[in-house]
Amino acid sequence: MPEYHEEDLPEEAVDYHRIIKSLIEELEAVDWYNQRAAATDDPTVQGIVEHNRDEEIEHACMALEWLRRRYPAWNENLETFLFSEGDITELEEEEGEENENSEGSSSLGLGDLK
Amino acid sequence: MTLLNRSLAPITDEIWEVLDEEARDYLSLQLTGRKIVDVEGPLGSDFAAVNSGRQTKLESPVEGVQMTERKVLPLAEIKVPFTLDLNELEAVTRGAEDIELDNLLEAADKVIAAEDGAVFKGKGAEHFAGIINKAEFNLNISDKPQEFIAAAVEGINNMKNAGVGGPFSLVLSEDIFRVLFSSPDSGYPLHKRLGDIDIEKVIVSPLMESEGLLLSARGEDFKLILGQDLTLGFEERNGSKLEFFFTESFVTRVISPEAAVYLN
Repeated sequence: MPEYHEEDLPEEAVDYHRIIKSLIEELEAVDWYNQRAAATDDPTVQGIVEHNRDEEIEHACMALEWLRRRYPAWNENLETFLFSEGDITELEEEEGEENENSEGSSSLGLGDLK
Repeated sequence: MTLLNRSLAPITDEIWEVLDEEARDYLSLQLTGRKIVDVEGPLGSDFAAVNSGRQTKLESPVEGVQMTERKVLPLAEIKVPFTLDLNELEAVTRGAEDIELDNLLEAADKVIAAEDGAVFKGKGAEHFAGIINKAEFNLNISDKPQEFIAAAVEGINNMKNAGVGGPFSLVLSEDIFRVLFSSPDSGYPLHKRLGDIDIEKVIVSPLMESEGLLLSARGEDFKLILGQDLTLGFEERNGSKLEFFFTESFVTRVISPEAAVYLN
């Protein structure tokens, strides 16, 4: 398919692509509905498109969670930036300092062995 | 929380990776409880206690005032020290692949005895109940496959009558497992017969002594709650000897005793 940049991709990469594409499409839809809500003068139209926009946000979050559960880099970055406070651009630096220190945050990563 | 002091050890990141990997591979193979119970966390080294939802009454401090205090389950912390030879570890940087790490593995065995001992037998803190001690049902088992299956069916029926569904897991001591699974099958393999009665997982635990547990694997019945998950830290250097340690903090909970059958 033209959307792929490589041939003979393993199934895991194809699924990864499916979710990334879904995430992109959901976020585009969020943007479109948000623009329609901002543009309309009819409050009933506004109510519907705002509802639709928020549904798409839910779908985008599901895709993000799928990525987070499977890929440590997504997990690590979402943990660093989501539900945080203060200057967002400084969070990455603080995370780096914590890792360097390696006290308390370090483990063998065993967790659940089921 | 015990400081890990990893940055103070006179070894390279490459050597730390070798130690971490060896420990991880061995522990993930040998730890049994984590393959059976629900693991929550790690919730961090600053996580100190789990809410029990209960409270006890205190003496009234002021007339007309009732005072209670909340009951919590504090996490226990373990530390298992061991020694490694610096010259041997330095061989890693020269490309050696057969590093002598017996002391690390011996310490890992103690970690397993402590963690699985807490999960299954309630060893350690007073509030670690242990699944064996709390199991609501108790059945005698035989080492003959046919009779063993009959006991397992009875155990499952007991749980189902108490409202506990499957699938189910079986934890067996090495001797019982060996005898059961080396006995001649009467036409139909034992593991398939166990599958037929909804036992989806059979695990051997070195902690069990001629005994076993039949447990519901539906979830939310047994918990291992982690503060600091298992990790390696550095203690000190004595000449060419380096003192390391394993550490972790945890609490175990048996929420549904009716989801466990003790087999002996």
